[in-house]
Amino acid sequence: MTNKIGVNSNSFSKNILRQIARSASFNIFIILFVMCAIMYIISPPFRSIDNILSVTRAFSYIAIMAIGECIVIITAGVDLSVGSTFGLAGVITALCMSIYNIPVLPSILVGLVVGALIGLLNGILIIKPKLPPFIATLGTLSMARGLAYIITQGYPITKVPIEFLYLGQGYLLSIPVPVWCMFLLAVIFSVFLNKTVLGRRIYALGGNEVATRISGINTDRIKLIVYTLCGVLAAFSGIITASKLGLGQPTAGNGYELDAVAAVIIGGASLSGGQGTILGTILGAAIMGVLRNALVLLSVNAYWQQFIIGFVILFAVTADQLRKNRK
Amino acid sequence: MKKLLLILIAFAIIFTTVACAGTGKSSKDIVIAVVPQQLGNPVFYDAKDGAEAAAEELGIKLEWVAPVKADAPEQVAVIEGLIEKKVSGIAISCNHPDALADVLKRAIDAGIKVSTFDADSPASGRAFYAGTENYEAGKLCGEYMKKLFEHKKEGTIKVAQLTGILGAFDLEARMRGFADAIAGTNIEVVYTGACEDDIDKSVEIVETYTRSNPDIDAWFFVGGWPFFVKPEAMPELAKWKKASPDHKVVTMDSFYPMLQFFDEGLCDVAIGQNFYQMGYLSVMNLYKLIKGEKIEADTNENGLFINTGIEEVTPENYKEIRAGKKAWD
Amino acid sequence: MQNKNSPYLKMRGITKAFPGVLALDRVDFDLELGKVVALVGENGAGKSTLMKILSGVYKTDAGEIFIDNKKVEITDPLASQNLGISIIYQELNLLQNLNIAENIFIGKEIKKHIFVDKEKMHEESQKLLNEVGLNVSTKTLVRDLSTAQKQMVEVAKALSFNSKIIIMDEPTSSLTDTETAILFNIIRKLKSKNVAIVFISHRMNEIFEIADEVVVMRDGKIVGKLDRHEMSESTIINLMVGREIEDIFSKLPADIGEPVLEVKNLSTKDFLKDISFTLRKGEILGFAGLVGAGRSEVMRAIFGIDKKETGEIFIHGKKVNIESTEDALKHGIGFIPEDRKEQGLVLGMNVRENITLAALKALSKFNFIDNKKEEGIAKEYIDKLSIKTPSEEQIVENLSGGNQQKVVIGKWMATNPEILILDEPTRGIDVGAKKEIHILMSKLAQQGVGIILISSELPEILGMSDRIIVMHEGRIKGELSREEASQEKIMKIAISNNS
Repeated sequence: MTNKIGVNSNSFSKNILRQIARSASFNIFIILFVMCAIMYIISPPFRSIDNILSVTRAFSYIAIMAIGECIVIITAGVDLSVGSTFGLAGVITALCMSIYNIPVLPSILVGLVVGALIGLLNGILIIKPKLPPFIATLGTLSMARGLAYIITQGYPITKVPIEFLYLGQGYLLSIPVPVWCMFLLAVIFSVFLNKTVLGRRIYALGGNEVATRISGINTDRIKLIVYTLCGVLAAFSGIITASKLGLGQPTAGNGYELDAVAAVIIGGASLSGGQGTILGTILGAAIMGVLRNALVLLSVNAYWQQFIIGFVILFAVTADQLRKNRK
Repeated sequence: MKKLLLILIAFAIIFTTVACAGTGKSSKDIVIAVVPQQLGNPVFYDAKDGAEAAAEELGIKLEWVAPVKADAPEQVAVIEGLIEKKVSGIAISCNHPDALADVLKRAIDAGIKVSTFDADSPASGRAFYAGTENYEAGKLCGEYMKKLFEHKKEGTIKVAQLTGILGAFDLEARMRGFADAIAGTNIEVVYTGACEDDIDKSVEIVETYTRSNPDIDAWFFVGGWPFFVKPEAMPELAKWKKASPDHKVVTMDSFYPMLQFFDEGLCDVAIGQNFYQMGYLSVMNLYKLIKGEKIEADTNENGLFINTGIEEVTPENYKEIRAGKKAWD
Repeated sequence: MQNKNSPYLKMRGITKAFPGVLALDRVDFDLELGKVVALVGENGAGKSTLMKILSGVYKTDAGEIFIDNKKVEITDPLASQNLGISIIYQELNLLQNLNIAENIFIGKEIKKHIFVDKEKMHEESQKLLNEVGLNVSTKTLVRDLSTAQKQMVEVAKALSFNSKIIIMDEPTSSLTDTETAILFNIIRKLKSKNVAIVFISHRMNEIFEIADEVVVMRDGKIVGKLDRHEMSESTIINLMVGREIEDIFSKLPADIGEPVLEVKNLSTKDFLKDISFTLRKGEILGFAGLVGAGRSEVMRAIFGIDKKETGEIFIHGKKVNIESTEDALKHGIGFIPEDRKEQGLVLGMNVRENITLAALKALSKFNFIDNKKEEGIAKEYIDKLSIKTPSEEQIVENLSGGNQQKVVIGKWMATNPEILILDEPTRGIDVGAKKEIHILMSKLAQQGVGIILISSELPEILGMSDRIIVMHEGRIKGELSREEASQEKIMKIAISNNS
C-alpha cells in the first residue's frame, strides 16, 4: 500500500515536471528568463528592486486586461473594445468622484459596472444577431471611445481625491498595489478556468462550439458571461491606470486592445480557440513590459522601439508555433 | 392687420436682399468652420473659446468640426464635407502640411477663404497662418535651457528629451529649434523617447529613464504629456529633481493642469502657445477677408503670418498666469 | 524486371512510423488498371496511412513507388495529382461556399485570356456530372447538396483530372442503398475506362459486389490478398481481427416497459411535417430512410438544437418544454450526433474531459470540479466501453474512429440518460468496435433505457431494432415491427413517392 502511494507521488511529481516542460507557457517563460538575464548582465539599473517593481507595475494593468482577453480568446472570440472600455471606465470613475463627489469605492464600482455593460452588450450582439466578435467589438470600441469624449468634452478629469490614488500608486508590503491586483486576479481566474465547471465549458466551447452545445450546455450564456468578465477586467485596469496617473482621460488606453491580444497570443493561446492559459498571458504581458523597460534603460533610439517590439512578438509566436508543429 | 404684417414682411425681405447684394453677404449667412486636428483633444478647447468669442462678437455662425482621431486622411474628408456645404471660411490646424494642401486648394478654388492656425500648410495657398512658430518656440526652450545652466560651464549638460509621435511636423520643428539653440554649447541631448501621445506611456518613460539615469541634468518635454497627471504619479522625477538644485525641467505647453507642477517645484520653464488668440484672431481675420476687407499681418517666407504670441511661464509668474486661465475641471 | 505485365502501380517496402507507432511495416501494394481493389482492415490497421502516402499527404520513411515501371517520388499532394492519382476522402474536401463547377475546376480554372471562362467551366462540369449521373445544376452551391451528391461531385472532380488511380475512402458510409447503387455504376464505368480504383470500406456486401480483389491489412502489414472466388465474409473478418466473430449484430432480449418519450405532431418551419411516435422503456426504436429523409432533423428538434414550429413532447407522460440542449439534458435525453468530429467531440480535449463534459455538474461541488470523482467516472467508462487509449489524459484527436465514438457514447452514459438517441453510431468504425457498440446498446436497453437508433445500414437497423419507423421527405411513412420488417419492405416505404 505504501509502496503504491510512493509510486504514485513519484510519477505525480514527474508528471508535473513534464507538464511544465510541455506546457505552452514554458517557451514563453524561457524567452522572458533570457531577456531578464541579458538585461541583468548588461544594465545595472535593471537590477534595482525599484526598477523590477516598477516594470511589474507598468505591465500589471495590461496583464489584468489581458486576463479578460485571454478568456474571450479561449472561446475562439476576440474583444477589440477593451482599450476603449479601459478609457471609459477610468473617465467615469474619475467623474463620479470629481463632479458628483461620490466616495471612492462606489465610484470604482460604477466604473466596473460600465465595463460590465459594455461587455454584456458585446455578448448580446454576438449571440443574438450572431455578429462575428471582431465586428461587434469593433463597433463597441468606437462607441465606448465616443462616450468617453462626449462625457468629458475631451478634458482630462484631474480633480480626484487623494485616497483614490492608493489603488494605482500605493504599496502593500513593499509591493505596488496594482501588482497585488494582477497576482490575485491571475490566481482567481486560473482556478476559475481550471477547476470550475464553467471554466471547463469555456475551453470546450472554444474547442468545438457545436459539440459543446450538443452536450447540453448553454453556449450563449457562457459567451455572455465571458464578454462581461472581459469588460469588467478591462474597466478595472482602466480604473487602476486612472488612479496611477491621478487622471481620468478620454484618450487613455487607445490601441491597448492590440497589446492585450498580443500578450494573450505570445502567452500561447490560439485565435482559433480552445487554448490559452492565464499564466501564459501574464508572461506574455511581462515580456512586453520588460521589453519596453529595456528599450528605455538601454536608451534605444525611439525610432527603433516599435520595430523591436513587433519583432519580439513575431519571434515569440513563431517559436511557439514551431514547438506545436513539432508535436 | 394681417395685410399690414404681410407688407412688412415683404419689405423686410426686399430690404435684406438688397442689403446682401450690397455687401456680398449678411453676417447671419456667414459660416466659418474651425477645424482642429482632432475632437476631444483639450489643447484645442482654448482655441474653441476664442473662436466662439469672435463669432459672437461678429454675429456669425461657427462650426467646430474635426475627425475623432488626429489623422490627415480623415481631416481631408472633413474639409471635403465643408466644401460641399459651401461654408464661407475655414480655419484649420493641419495634421500634416502636405496631405492637406490639395484639399485646401480645392476649397480656395471653390471660393472659400482658408486660413491655418497652430499647424500650418504653406503649400496650400492659405490666406494666412495664425499661430506660434513651433521652431521658434523650441528655440526659446533651448535659450531658457542655456540660461538655466549659465553657471555650469564645466562638463557636459545631459538632457533627456521626450516627444510624442515620431515625425509629427510641429514636434519635429520644436526639436529642431531646441537643437539649434543649444548647438555649440556644452548642453547635449543624450536620449529621445517617444510616448505615442499616450499620457500613461509618457509617465512610464520619464520615470524609468530618470530612475536608471539619475545623472542627467535636465528633461526637455517637447509636449506637455507627463504634466497632465497628478504630480504624485511621478515619484522618480520628484526624487531626482529634489536631489539637486541643478536638475532642471523645461517643457513645451502651459495648459492649466500642467501648472500644478510649478507648485511642487518640478518645473522650471513652460513655454505655451496662446490657443485662445489663435481661435479668436483666425475667425476675426477670416471674417474681414470674407467681407473683402484687408487684414493686418506680418509677412514671413511662407506668406501672411499672425503671431499669436508665446506664453513664458516660470516659477516667478506662474500663479499670475494661472489666475488668468480657465480651470479645466 | 521490365515486365510488360507488371502492375501499373507498385509500392514496395513502404514503411512509415509515427511517434510510438509503426503505422506501416514494409508494405508491398499493387494496383492494375481497370481493376477495383478493396482495402479492408480495422481502424488503425494502416490503410489510411498507406493511401495518404500515395496521395502525397505523408512522406514515406522507406520504400519505393513505381508507376508504369518508372520510379516516382510523391513529395506532396500536387505531385500525386500530376501523376494521375485522386483521393476522395471520407470527410469530403469541397469548398462549401463555391458552386459545383467552381469546385471541380478549382486550381485549374479554364481561362479565356486572363479571365475565368465560366461558361466553358459550367459546360465541362455538366458533362462530368452527366457522366456520374448527378442531376443538378452546376451552379448549385456545394453546401446545398446532400452528402451523397457531394460525393458525386468529388468523383466528377477526380474525373476532371483524367486520373488513372482513384482512391475512395469509405465512399458509401453516408450513402443510402440506392445512392450506393448509383456509385457502383460509376465505379463500373470507370473500370471500363481502364481506371484503377482503391475502395476502402467496412461493408462486406459492397465489397463482394464491386471488388476484383480484397487486400486485408492489420497492424501496419498486409495480411491477405483474396481474389473474387476466394472472398467470403468469415475469411475477411478472420484476417482483419485475427479472431472469430460469429454474428455482427447482437440484439439481446429486453423487457419493454411503459412509454418514456412521446412526440406528438412535431413540425419544423419548412421541413418536418406532423411527426408523432412513442418510445418505450427498454426499447430500441429504429429510424430508417434515405439520407435527407429528415431523421436527424427530428432528433435535432427533439433535443432542442433546432427550433420547433409545432408539436408537443411528453416524457413519462408529462408534457415538457425543450427549448435548448440544456433542457434536453435536464430531462434525461442523450444525443450522439452523426458527425462525431464536428458535433460529438471536442477533439483538442482529452478523453477524461470529453467523457465528463455533459455530466460535469454532477461531478462538482459549488461549481468546483471534484477531480477524483471526475477521474473515477472517466476511468469507469474507459473500462466499461473498453476504450483503447494509453490513459484518460490522451487527446481524443489521436484515437481511432471507433474509440472516438465510444468516448461520445461514454459521455452520454455518464449522464445516466433515460432516453438515448444514436445517429449513425457505427459509421466509419471498424467491425470489432461496431460489434461492441451494438452489445452496449443492447445492454443499455436491458437496463431500461429507451433508445432511438438512426442508421443508413439496413442490416444494422434490422438487427438492432424492436420497431422500425421509416421516414421520407420529412414525414413518417410507415412503421414496422421487428418481426415483419425486411430490407425490401423498408426500402419500398423509404423510396415511396406517393404522399
